[in-house]
Amino acid sequence: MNAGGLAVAALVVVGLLGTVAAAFGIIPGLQVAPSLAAWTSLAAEPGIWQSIWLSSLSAAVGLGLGLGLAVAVAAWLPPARAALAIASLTVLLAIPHGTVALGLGQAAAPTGMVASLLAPIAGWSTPPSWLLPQDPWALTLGIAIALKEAPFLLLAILAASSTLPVERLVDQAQSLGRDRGGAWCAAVLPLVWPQLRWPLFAAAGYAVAALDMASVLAPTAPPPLALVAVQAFLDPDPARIAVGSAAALGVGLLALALWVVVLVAAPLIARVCHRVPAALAIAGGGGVAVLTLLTLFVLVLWSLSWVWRFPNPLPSAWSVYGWQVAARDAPIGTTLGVAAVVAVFAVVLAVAALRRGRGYLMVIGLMVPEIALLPGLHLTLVFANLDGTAFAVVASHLVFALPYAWLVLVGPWMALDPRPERVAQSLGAGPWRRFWRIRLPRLARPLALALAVAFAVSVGQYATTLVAGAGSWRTLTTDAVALAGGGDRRVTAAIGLLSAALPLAAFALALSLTQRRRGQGRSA
Amino acid sequence: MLRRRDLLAAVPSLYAVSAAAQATDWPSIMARARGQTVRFNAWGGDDRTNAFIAWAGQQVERQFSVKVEHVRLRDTADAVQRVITERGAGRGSEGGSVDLIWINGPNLAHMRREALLYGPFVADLPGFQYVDIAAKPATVVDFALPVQGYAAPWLMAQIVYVYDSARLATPPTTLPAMLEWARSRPGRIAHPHGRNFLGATFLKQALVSLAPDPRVLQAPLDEVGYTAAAAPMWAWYRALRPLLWRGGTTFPTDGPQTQALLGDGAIDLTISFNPAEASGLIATGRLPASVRTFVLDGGTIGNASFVAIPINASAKAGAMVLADLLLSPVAQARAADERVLGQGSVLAINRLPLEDQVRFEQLPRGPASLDVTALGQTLSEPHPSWMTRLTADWLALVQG
Repeated sequence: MNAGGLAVAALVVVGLLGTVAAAFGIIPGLQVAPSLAAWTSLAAEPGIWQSIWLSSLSAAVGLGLGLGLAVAVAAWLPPARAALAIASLTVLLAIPHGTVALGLGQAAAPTGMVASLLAPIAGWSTPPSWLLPQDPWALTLGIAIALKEAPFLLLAILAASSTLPVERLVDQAQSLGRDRGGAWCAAVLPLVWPQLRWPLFAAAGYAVAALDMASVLAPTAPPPLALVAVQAFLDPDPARIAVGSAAALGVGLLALALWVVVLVAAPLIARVCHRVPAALAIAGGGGVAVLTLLTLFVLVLWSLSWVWRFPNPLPSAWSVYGWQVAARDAPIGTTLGVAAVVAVFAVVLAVAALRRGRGYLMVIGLMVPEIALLPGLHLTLVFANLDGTAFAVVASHLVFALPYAWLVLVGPWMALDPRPERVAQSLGAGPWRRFWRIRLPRLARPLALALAVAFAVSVGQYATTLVAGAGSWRTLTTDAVALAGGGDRRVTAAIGLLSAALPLAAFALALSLTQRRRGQGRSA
Repeated sequence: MLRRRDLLAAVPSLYAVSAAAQATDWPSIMARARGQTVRFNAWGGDDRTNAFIAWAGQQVERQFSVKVEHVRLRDTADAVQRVITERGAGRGSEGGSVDLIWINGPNLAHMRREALLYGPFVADLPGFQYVDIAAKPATVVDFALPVQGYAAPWLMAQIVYVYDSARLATPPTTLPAMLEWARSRPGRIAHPHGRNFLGATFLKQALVSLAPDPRVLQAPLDEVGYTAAAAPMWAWYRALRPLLWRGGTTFPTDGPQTQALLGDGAIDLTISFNPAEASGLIATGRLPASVRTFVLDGGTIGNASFVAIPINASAKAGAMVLADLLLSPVAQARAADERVLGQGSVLAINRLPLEDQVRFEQLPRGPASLDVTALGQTLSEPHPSWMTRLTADWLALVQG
């Protein structure tokens, strides 16, 4: 088990090293001499500072807003509603980022549903000229990122506090004269915060990279830095691979900087936390849910439309054409099989790593955007003659799924009260028995969630699947991305919904397990 | 005019290769191909193209026992990268994961330059004899670079401009007229981002149409020549840019996104590289029935799409069998059918056996498609160095 974890960690390190080497001009097979040329051409890229600014701004807005909303909702969430909250969060989380971006983009466009609804009121006969969704400040992107970061971070907070006596702590603080939100901020947040470090790390990494969202919602001339990296990678000119690697490392550095800023800003967050009124928390949380569901609603309409043009608030002709195209030989079996295997391995390996210590090595995979690990990862697999094999696909998915599984587990694992195990030890239970009978059952909820998260991450892999699978492994996502490029919104919408369905099912399953556990009287 | 001479020289030399290579007999290639699986790496963004490739796969499986696996790419460069990496890992001549690749332009030039292609193999294909090299020189010369038998043509493309006749009654058929019209309707014309090949093509067409002497564009670019040839085009584009969709500050990513803007009514005019695309999009409800196409008075750029076999392909014989099937009159007529793909044929239809000519004569034409005469003269693609430079200068202008 530990060998497997080490192998995945090794893949991460090799991938990262490959990318660093490429950024400094060393690309095996292309015989490029070591140099700083990639960095100088990156700095000379037209609009590069604007790209960096766009990435920083949208990431800061996304992470800041997302974290703020998560903390505010957590502070005011009545404990009786925690289960319901987790259920709604998992629904929101299961919707892939790309799907949310598509729906949001189509709702916000000057020819989209919002403008069409406003048209009769405002008396528009031609579409309005507002600069959405690809606004020059990338704020649409920032908001979209926040829509996905808020549920992720809230879930992380709830997972972290599931091992704490939240009610007692809040009651004590309330008896000192604070309102409920203030009590939570004073008594629970400081205990939860240390466990949020790594989830925040992942969130910062995603906020800066956000490829799938940026490609739909960000301005294009110039685009944010992560897209600069991808475009350079995809350029047929090999010198551009080095530039792309440098840009990808830049994305990683931005993520790191954002993470440090958030950690340093902890006292500020705690202070603001006390001031958030219940109404704002409810409005914010509700807003996230409503906006996310609106994007889904728009996609459902698109997927069932034949013609839908401004200024019709609803499609003027309906059809299941989008679903027909999307479902035509959709590789559901492969997607499901790979994701299930990846999820099991991810959780087993994460638990193995936690048993041996903490395994911070796991998070390296989150430090650099997927696209930056790929060249090195690809080279390794090809050199080992493993590309195109099931092993390569599963192992490369694990590079990204394992850190998330570890993330979900590490907080609850470390925070678990060690006393029951000590008691069991004193009663003569061996390490394995203690692990199986005492530790694991108490981690049922995080374990189920970790499985679902790893499953969802695997389902969402595009470039990794293409590269590790040597193009021969088709999944829902590889098909979706290829077809989404074709620009038929009805098909794209159907595929976006389809690719949300599998993770949704996984989360629902995880949730039902958790519910049963709760029914057996475990403290929540 | 060295390059022009090369260009013309390419045609007879291809025939020479052809005569020599007929010696490697086709039946033995077919025998080797039997049972192979060809991993055809082709852009997977268009459902109709995917369906066409699936059909071609069924044909070769039934007729020649060759299986085809369509690897659906987002970007052809993904597959080029894979071949490069594989060669770097010591799989330089066998055992590669790409058997056939749909390719042209800079990707093809790059694979040729890096010696990543197997060949010359095109003359070995029995179907190549009907390719219309004389009238469609783009079938053997891609972006001013002679293909020299390393890639087989399979589809023809030509630039047309696409517009909504409900809002634009008389389309502007010269570039100055287009600028005049944009002045009267700011924000109603769009082209894809300059990094996208169709976006670069929008600029390239303007370069070819406005250059004082378009012949210099066939040679690799030099600094002095560039300034003289491109000055009128940049003057035109600088005037046009603020009149583009969103004031030319952000651009749709690719062709399909740009067509979607036209379908939404967000713009009235854009560009396409497939003369039948608009009719196809009308038929599937993605463009209003009032959309039409036109070409510029002096003609528009045309080119061919190729399939090529990487040097390390695992199923080279099978790949040749598939490339030959794509050249067959049956496949070409099917691709030319607007209900299927609507792509121009690379064949000389009048040289085909009569029963094959008939396949092409009965094809229906959609409301937005021009007939062959109206499509007019096709102009040659400039040497790739021009496109690279146009993109770089465009990025500096728009993003710098």
